[in-house]
Amino acid sequence: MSNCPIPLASLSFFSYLCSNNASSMKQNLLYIILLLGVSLWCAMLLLPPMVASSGHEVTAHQLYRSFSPICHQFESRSLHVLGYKLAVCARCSAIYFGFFVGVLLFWVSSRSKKLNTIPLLLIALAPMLVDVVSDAIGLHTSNLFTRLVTGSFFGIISAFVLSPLIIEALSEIIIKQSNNQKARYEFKT
Amino acid sequence: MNSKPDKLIPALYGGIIMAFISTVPFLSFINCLCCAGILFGGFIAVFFYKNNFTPDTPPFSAGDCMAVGALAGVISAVIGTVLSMIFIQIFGDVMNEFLLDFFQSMGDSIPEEVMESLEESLSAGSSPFMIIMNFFTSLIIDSLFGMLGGLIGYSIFKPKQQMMTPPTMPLPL
Repeated sequence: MSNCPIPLASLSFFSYLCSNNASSMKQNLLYIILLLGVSLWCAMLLLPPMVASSGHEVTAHQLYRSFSPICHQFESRSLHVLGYKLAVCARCSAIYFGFFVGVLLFWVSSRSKKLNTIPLLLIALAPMLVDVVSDAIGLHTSNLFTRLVTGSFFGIISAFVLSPLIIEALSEIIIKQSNNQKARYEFKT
Repeated sequence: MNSKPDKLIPALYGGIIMAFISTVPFLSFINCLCCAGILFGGFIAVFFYKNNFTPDTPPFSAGDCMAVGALAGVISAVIGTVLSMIFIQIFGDVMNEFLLDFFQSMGDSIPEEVMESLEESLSAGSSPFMIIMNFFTSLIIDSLFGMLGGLIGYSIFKPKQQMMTPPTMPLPL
């Protein structure tokens, strides 16, 4: 039997997480992992203005460019922090921060039932599409308020739809890790 | 029971579609809709993946679809970087030049920041540093959104009746 306690301790921890008794603890841990991931993404959006305000213009410029494939980043359509625009526009920021809020709300609401993906995503997308298309054809002028509201709505609904799927996938990864670790432990002993 | 089918080929199909949408001028506008092109690539990778399953194979899971979507994103980043280099070498920066000409023809009604953004994109060119940076950015973004596309594909294509895997019994301490 191995003298190192770490593999045995980690194996016991993983097995406990997979057991029925640890169900709520495992769910909470998975939500924390998801929340940390989304928080990291939201923090990345705040990084370029903070770097720019500290005087590192070149680094900030490179950070802004790294987000350019996913957003137009127009100054007049972006939120500002410390006098500099965020990494993405106001609508995109509202989507991502709305997703963060949605994950929090989903955790608190303790929903376990998966929702119908496509209909809900289409409902969430509709106000945003109407805002964008009607602005493009001149029917209505999109402003900061409409961009924030429609973006947040889409982000929050997307979180409710995607969170249970992400949790299910993370749960499988943990079970696979536990089974692999168990197999390696049994092979060593 | 047979083992699950390989993920690489479906991910390759999804990655090629993703890279094509992201790279071809004007078609890449689809990604303005919350990276819809990248999400679609992950979704289509899961579609091809589920077609490889037979009644003898265990059903695919959320983790499988997330992995297929993420792998499609990685493949898309590689293929997309190569494709964009080829496009720019052969055709030049067609899309940005078109947009610049279009906005310039509209006179002074276009905000200055739009013109500056387009001019900056054109002047950035295709230096090795920019290519490497674009590759790593695509790697992160395409994998992330590919994963989400894969999960959306799972929620639509998952088998209606899945076999419940027995819970893993904890080892006695």
